[in-house]
Amino acid sequence: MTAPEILSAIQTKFPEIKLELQQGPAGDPWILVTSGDVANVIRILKNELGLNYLACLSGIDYQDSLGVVYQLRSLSGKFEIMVKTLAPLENPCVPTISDLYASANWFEREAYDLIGIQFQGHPDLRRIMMPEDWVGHPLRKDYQPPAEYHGISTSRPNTHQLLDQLRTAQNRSDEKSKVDTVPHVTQSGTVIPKSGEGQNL
Amino acid sequence: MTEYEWGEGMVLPTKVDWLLNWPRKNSLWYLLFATACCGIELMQAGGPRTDLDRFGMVFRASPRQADILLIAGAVTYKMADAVRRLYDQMPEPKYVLAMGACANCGGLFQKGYSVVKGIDKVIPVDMYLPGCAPRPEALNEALMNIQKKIENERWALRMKIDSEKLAR
Repeated sequence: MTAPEILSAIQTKFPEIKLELQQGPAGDPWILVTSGDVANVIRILKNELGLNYLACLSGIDYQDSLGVVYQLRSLSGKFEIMVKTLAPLENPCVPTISDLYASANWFEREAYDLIGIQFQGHPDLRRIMMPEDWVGHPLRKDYQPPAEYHGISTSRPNTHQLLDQLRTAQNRSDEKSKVDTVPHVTQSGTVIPKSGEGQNL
Repeated sequence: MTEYEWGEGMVLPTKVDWLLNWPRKNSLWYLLFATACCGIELMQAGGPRTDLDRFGMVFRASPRQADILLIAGAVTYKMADAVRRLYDQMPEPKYVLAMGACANCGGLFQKGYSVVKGIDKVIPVDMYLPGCAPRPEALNEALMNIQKKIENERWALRMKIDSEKLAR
């Protein structure tokens, strides 16, 4: 089945809701469904059109809204269709499809963890990757990481400044000994191999 | 020919530091803790080619029996709590080797939201080993550097540091 055939098949099932077939500059076409109808549409796609395999479920931050993308595939019919839905930034609620596809359970937990989409009716909507007490959803475009987590600073060392310090220290020791036979070990314990050793490895 | 029994008029002159440090440095048991690809190099270092056994280093699956914690790979914030707990469970004196770029500073993943930017933000580190991933020879050298560090330790100073740690 091609995408227009799938679209007309669901449109006859749901004459009252508005379905659009959209196509980007590249890639496959998709069916845009409102977030209220998406679970019903996917139920029809699974039960009547035989799209029995949920290949992927992703959450997307479009900045003005959030989105969920479903990749559905028919293993027996050898065709697939992409379904997209949008959710508002404030209170992004999308009905769960974990009752239709068991694999959607963890996909939805992932989309909740990283993007912050609330899947209504999910049996166990917990974070799946980040620690359970983590604040925020890291793949949001406006995400600001916390300054620290459990007392661990999240700031990165300034490598340029560190390199300058190491070079200065190395120059000083070169002036002192002139013979650079051993790797330097700085006070913090950093092992700096002698120059040229890296290439031989 | 006179046969001597040990303790009858026999004297072995040595330094206390040397006597205590020598067996310590030659029985460095390392904790199996590999979070990423550096663990593969760690396994290779334990294998017959690099053969850490000849330095008396054998892997331990329990932190209670380990002397050195090798942080082999990137550590996430979720894992950092476990690392700190493992470190706390190890008996003193204990050493930490940050192996590879990820353990040193977060490495390739340091701009990620979930990766700890250097394991020294979680636990004290004795030796940093650069590389991505360091070859077994490099790991071997870092461990020999730790051995040198142990060899040169003043036992009295170490006791003082330990008692201060315990008092805290």
